[in-house]
Amino acid sequence: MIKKHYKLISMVILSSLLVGCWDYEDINKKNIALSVGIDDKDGIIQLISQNAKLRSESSGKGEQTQITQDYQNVSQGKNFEETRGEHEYIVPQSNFTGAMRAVVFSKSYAEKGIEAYINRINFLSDLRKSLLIVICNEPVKDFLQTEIKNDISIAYAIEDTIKKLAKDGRTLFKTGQEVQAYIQNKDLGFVIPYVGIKDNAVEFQGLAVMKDSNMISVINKKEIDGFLFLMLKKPNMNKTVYSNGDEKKQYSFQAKLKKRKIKTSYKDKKVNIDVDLQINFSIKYQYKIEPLNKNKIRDLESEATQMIYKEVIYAINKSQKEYKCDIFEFGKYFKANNPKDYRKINWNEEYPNANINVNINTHLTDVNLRSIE
Amino acid sequence: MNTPLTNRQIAFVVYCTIVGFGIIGIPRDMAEAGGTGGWIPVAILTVIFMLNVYIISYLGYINHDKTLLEYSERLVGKFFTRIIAVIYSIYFFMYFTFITRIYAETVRITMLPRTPSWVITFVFFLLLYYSISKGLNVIVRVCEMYGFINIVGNIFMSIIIFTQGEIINIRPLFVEEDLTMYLSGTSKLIFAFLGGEMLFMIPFSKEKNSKVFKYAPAIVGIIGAMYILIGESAISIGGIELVKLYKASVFNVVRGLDVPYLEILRRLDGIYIIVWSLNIICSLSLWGYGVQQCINKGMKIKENKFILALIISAGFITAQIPKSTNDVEKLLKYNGYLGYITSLSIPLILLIITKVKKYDKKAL
Amino acid sequence: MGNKNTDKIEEIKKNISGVLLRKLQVGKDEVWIVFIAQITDRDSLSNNIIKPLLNYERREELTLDLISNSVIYIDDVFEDINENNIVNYVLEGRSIIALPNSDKFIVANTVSIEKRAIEAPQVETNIRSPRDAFTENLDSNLSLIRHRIKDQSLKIDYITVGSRTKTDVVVIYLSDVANEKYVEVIKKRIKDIKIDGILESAYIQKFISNKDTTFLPQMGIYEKSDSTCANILEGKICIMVDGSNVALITPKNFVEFLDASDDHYENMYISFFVKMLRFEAIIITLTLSAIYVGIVAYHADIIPAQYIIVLAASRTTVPVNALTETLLMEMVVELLRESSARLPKQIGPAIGIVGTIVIGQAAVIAGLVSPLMVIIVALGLMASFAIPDYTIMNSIRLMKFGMILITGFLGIFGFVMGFTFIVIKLASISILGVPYLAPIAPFQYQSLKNYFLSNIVLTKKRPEYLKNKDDTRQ
Repeated sequence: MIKKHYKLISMVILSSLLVGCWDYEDINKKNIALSVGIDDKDGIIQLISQNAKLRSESSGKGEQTQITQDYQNVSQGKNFEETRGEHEYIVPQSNFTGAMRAVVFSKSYAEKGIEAYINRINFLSDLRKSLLIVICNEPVKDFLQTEIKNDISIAYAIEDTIKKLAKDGRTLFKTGQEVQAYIQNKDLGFVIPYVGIKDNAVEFQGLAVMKDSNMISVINKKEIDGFLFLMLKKPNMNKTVYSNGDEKKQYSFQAKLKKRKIKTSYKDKKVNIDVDLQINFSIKYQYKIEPLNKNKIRDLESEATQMIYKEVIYAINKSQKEYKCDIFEFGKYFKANNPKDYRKINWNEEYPNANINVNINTHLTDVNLRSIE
Repeated sequence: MNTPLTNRQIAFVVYCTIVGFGIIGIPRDMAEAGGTGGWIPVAILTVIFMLNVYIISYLGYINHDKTLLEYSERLVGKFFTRIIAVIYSIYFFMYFTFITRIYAETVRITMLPRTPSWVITFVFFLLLYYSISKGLNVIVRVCEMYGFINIVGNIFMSIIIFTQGEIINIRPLFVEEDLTMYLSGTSKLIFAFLGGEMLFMIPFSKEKNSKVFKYAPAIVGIIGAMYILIGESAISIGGIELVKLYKASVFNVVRGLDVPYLEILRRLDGIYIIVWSLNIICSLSLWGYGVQQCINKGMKIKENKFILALIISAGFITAQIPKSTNDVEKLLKYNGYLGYITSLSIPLILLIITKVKKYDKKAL
Repeated sequence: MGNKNTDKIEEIKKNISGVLLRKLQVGKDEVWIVFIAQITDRDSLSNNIIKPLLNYERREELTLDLISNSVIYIDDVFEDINENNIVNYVLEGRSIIALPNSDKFIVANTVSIEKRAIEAPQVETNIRSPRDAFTENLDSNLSLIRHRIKDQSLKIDYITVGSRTKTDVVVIYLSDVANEKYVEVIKKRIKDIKIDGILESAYIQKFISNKDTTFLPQMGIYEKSDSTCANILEGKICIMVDGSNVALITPKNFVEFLDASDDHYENMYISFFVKMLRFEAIIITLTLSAIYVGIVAYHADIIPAQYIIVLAASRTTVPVNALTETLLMEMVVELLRESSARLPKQIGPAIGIVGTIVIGQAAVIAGLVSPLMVIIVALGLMASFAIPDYTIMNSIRLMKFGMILITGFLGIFGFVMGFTFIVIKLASISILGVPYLAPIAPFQYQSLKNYFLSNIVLTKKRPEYLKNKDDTRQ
């Protein structure tokens, strides 16, 4: 039967191919969004999107332009659907988010809670869940409109800066999916990179502390070392120690975390957490060359250990007393080691009173090929 | 008329039918069945189904060169054979139709948002018609190739996911007081293991398939290990709270990954969908072949293309009936209950009858 | 005085032009010699038949037996009694010697036709391999094969096909290695051919292929004698047609189309690498344009973010959408390929330059196509030449258009559907009982390993899927 009517069938199939397809749309006919930002102005949600400009005015045909020119669209509304609707009324092409680099929240919006937009990112298939989330200091409109001097456009600059710092062990890189995982875990808080503009370049200014997905405080980049040693897998610290308290004779050292062991227990209705940090310590160079000997190195090591200990204790005190929120994921370790006790207590209440002990072991790995007498 | 299948081909048939649609919901089912200890119900079910597949291949091997509907007449009589044929054809047909529909919905949501799902179903059914009309040998050869790609793809994907996750998220691995929860959680995971009964529709050969008792259970063991691997790797990304939010948890978790060193392969879930589609094509061809065999052998008609076209059109029309994905999932759940009969009970009953009447000694 | 033979000869001389009749008088007897001058070796006829007959001075009466046994010098003679065969013999180029008083007549082989000398192969070019290619003359081709395989079990069976051309078709195989069933089937199919003329081995190929799977090639064509002999030694069957310089080998698998003879002569590692390259070439030819359409129109987020913007910017001036652009460029490339195959030698290089400059560069500058499209079709074109046996590439070029259409319709999902369709089609073909995709599916490890390594030292057995009588090689 089919062989007899194959002409008819093939005509039907061919004509349906030529009629047009529902999803067919060339990439150059779409609006390529580079980054999106959410701001809050007196209760009105502002959606700012940076889109790539495909035709540049100054370049001639056949020239390759390295700088991607982009333009901004701002739309407002009471909720996301209304705002998106306003956005669609002014953009001539359909949206393409495959080239997006970052999602930026403003400080004022983050203080009211970012959970709604995080859920929107994660459940809508238009937006990519693997985008970087950052909070910015300035209003988003001005932040995204800055002309960056050292990168292709601001969206690239944000992602590249944070990525490089994360690779070097100086900050965290949080994607939309990870943030959602943290929000769903009611016992933990989390941190998001906090950026700003300085001198026409994106500057990493610290970490924003989020409790119940609201921003409660910002950790300044100068005080960040203790936090990093407790949160990152491979944090890195470059600092100097004074030799004999003399400012001219500074020794530059690098401290890298080798291993972090967290032991938890529950005794006498109190949570005990023992943090064991093993740190690899290496001396990089001296500001004023002096002969090195073993005693000197031991002094330097103990001084560096003291410095790191102070930072870590400062971080823990801040999180217990000021933020009252577990941003170091101790809750997960407690659940893993003592599942029965975890189910009985409320971690949010127990954490500020928990007994946290820190023990630091440093181990000298090298003195950067200098000779020791 | 068909040449006999080699052992490896039979193993791949089992693989392709079992690992079909169930694999993408594994992390969520594991998290709901036992929390972070969800791998224990999976391990228990693996052992149960290894035994099950062993029983089915034993029955098939004793009655070599015959399929279930041919040798069951000897075991249980004509009337019950008819009933078995009806049950199996309904069972296979439900899977055949509704897995296509839910696959089309998944493709529509992730890749082609504006295309209506009946178009995807239509093209898919055309391909299935073509593949089933070629006969069992061709389906099995395609299964061999695609099944291999699928195993490699799954292992590769779970290794990539594991490198992005953290071990702390999958602990604690075993909590003693949850033991009863683990045992009761097995009922949620049975859906992912159904499919071994496809071996009933395949004739075994005496000389070539003597080692099938090693291959078929071994592949079920591999499937169980793979399920645990994928489930744990997805849970390790965001913990069990994250996977409980989504139904098609593997896709959703993979979509949120950005692996820096794999710059070219950015959209990992696209690659995973392609690898998974290959498996779905094989599995649905086999389900469709099962429907065709049940109808042909049950009603004692000769194989011809007209009946196959009827089956395919009936499948297409039935696939459009449910209005939403939730209805389809409910239907698949009920079909899973039918699987208790077809996959677990009937082989046991037939085995007992065979042993009692000593047919295995007679046949061999 | 004449008899049936001479009457027939007179009739032939009247009806067929070019037939010459030489009547010799030897003593008291008359000897008639019939031949066609254009296809007869006239020197051999004069020196080996006419001269000894005219020099015959013995007393005995000249009978036909005496002539054939003692007088003429020619090496290939036999006697026949049926006068209706005289016409066929004369048209073949043989000379008929008849005596008016004898019922029988002698048929002498004085065939001489114009033929080419052995030259280098044109279609199958390799780096390191013998260069004696087949010519159109069946005898010289058989001499090349006989010279390479000096085995007593080498069987060469003649069948005559074609009612008007009466072409010789030869089936060559090793009787103690090849599967007898295949030989029987092939011979039966050749004998069943009822056609007026066979001009080239392709006619035989079309007749004896499976009727429902003619889209993909099922027989390999070979121009060189060393590759043909290698296949005969594997247990395959070779068919040669008189008048064609191409030999057919059957049964031939899909993977064997990617096998060139110098893989077996070169280093094992380099031939493994080159085989992988050829697989990639097939995949590239088949899928690259389709993937381009799928990515540009449906899923652009697969490629890295910076390139998305560059790609979109380069396509802003293109007037048509990606699907139409791809189809048009592919048509242009196919046109180029077809025209370059028919060019006389003097114009060839010029067209190559015109093709690249006009179509490639200028079209991009004019903004008609995007530069990426030009690279893609050029890559596809280049990849299609990397396969040693071009017949499989013809099918793949056609399938490429189908893939582009289905991907343009449904994106990557359509691509997977189209690809699976092709895979199912390949898996369903079996030639003489040998599955087309063996040794990949059904998976046979030894044969697959021997195929990839192409190392005669490590190949101890013949391929398993051929079901030969004798599989041991060493």
